[in-house]
Amino acid sequence: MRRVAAPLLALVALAGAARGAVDFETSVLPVLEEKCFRCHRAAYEDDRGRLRKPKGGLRLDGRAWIEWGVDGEPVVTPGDVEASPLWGLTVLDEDDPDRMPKSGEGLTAREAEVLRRWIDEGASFGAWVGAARDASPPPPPEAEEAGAGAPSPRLAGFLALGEGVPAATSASIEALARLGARVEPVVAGSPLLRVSFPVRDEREWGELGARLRAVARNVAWLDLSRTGVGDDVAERLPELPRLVRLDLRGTTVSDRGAAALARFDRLEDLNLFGTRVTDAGLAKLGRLESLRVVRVGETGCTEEGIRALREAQPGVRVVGDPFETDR
Amino acid sequence: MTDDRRLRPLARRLDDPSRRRFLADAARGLLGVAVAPFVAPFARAASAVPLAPATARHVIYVYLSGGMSQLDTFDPKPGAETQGPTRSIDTAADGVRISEHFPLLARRMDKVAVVRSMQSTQGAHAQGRYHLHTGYELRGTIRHPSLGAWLERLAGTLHPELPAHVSVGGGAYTASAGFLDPRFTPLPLGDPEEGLPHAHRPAHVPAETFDRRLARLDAMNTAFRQRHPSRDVDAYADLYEQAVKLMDSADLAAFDLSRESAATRAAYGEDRLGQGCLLARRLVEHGVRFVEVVNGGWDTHNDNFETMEELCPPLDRALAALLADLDARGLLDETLVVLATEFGRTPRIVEKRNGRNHHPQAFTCLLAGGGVVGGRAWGATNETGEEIVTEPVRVKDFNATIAYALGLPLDHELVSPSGRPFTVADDGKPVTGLFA
Repeated sequence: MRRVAAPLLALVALAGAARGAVDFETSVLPVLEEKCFRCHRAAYEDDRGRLRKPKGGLRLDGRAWIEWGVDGEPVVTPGDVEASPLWGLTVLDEDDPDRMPKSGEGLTAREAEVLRRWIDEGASFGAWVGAARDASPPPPPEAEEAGAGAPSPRLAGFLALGEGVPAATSASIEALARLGARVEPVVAGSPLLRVSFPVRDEREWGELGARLRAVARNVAWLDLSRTGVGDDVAERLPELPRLVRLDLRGTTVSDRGAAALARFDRLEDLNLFGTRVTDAGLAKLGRLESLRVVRVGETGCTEEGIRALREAQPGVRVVGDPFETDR
Repeated sequence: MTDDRRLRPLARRLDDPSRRRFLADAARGLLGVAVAPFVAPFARAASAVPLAPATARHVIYVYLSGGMSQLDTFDPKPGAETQGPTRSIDTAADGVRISEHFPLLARRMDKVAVVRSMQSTQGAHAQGRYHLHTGYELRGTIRHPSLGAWLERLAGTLHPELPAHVSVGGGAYTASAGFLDPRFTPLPLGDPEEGLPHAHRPAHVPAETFDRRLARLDAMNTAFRQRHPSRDVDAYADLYEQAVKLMDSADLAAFDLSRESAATRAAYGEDRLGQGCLLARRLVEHGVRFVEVVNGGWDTHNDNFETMEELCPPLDRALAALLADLDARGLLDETLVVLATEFGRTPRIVEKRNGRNHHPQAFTCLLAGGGVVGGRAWGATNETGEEIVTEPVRVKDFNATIAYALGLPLDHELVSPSGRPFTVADDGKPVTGLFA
């Protein structure tokens, strides 16, 4: 999109200038300076010595930064006001939590209209350059602290695992979402992903492997519960080097699929509740030294199989049937 | 929220492509913090409000209406004059004893944190119940949203068709959207065994006729809605739209208890509370975020001890089964189970009626799952049970703790129509020590 924008901008700027269009430097820049730059500028140290990063990972204090948007996602689409959050977020209702600017006075009606016209007329910057964009990408935005404190120890493990892992591209994430997946970070701000399927749907599972492969180094938690997948899908899962949690509750996975899972050598939490796994499959999984919790309720596993696993791996918590029933 | 929802045709069902668009939008919204917060601002399926690291995604809130007596349940005072005939037993939690009426739950207490230092300012039922559910005090001038409504408003839904907030046996009695958009009202259910009444298209009306009627209704409505855009009109139309979506949802089965085995239903107990908790587990499994289960009869001014002997066993069975079931399915880590009541009961026994009166100064609630570290008591009362000795937890601190577990921003203000700002738990402070 941005590749096309430059020549388009030039054309429209020419046309706009001829019609007495909104001039960026005299009309739009003052609005940005007054209402937006406080938060959306280069990282700086405040008077208490704390590093303040650009809010939301967005800088607006330079043409190159505005065009870069948030990590490559545009906030302005020249000529298309509805697709430009730079304007769209400023005209939300006052009580809408997403309204921009977040603090202080919002844009006046006149200011919003200037911004809207500027975008509609092609978002030309004229001669304005502002701050240049450095070669290094902006720092990833952090989750805002809202009086809620540090993550629990359980989540802290995920944060450590995700250090240094580059974020998955939004294109690959959306490709998964179009397959019916719900994709989210395992904990806010982490590049590690949790992939689940909230609705039971007919879908092309054949595509799943390929689309997971595109985010393979990011997937830490894969939740296939209640999707009805079987051994074929389990066997064809790609290499997921950081997979820590796998949920197969209510799938038709059996011992064949279970054997295929033994290659995920970082797996800590495995949920086989309601699957067709039996003692034989459980034994194969017993070789995984990373395991901490295995759930085998309502499966073909017996007390004997559970005992055998506990003996092979004394540190593993094995959770069986929830209620005592006659087996 | 400004969007084009009010002009969307009623008869459009959520087909596969729409569902997936929902999820793609949710992905963008959820990944806002890490990837792209600003794409598609008008199509949020999940809220773009920045959430803190959350340990819980769901809440099962068991509300005991009337004021549960703490000495006869989870804060016994063996040997004290005020204890009365109820005896206490050991549990799976070191050093924590509870009433003899809870033998099944005693085995699961390693999962439970017993908050014995609850305190409320409201000693009457209506006020106490309101304060517990909203964190604010009952006023004539405004209705505050309850916790479930806040959760849905700030964190959105997990499932495109099922409601985010359900109340079993409660409804307007306990939970409401308050001043928020009416679509945050919980779905009220009466008898859990009945499932969701009127949720299927009428059998005697062929599909094409039904669709045609909807389209006609739509046509009549659209002109009206365009001429009279108002939140309440939209809410009414939204209700219809939600109902139609739900009717056609494959996941309507979540409401159908007959799909559970007889053994499971027996384990929870064949009573409203037990079956209500079982329904809550099913709904959470299918992505519903907040399920309240209401159980009444706890206002034991008269015959406290006899009544507790009848009231407690169903609660014992239901809670023990719920915790075991959630754990077996791998849901307990992310489901916060709450047992709450509006106040406690006086340690001093009223001899004439052999009962206990209201006691908001010190009472007990339970928290389990959702990141809470179980197997212990939090806070304590004195030898008679009259006063709190350590770690007082006000009702709004309790609510802040629930919000904290869910990752909801505690200082995020929503403004009522009259222009006053409110937060999810007023100025309550979360008891973060419960999660350490």
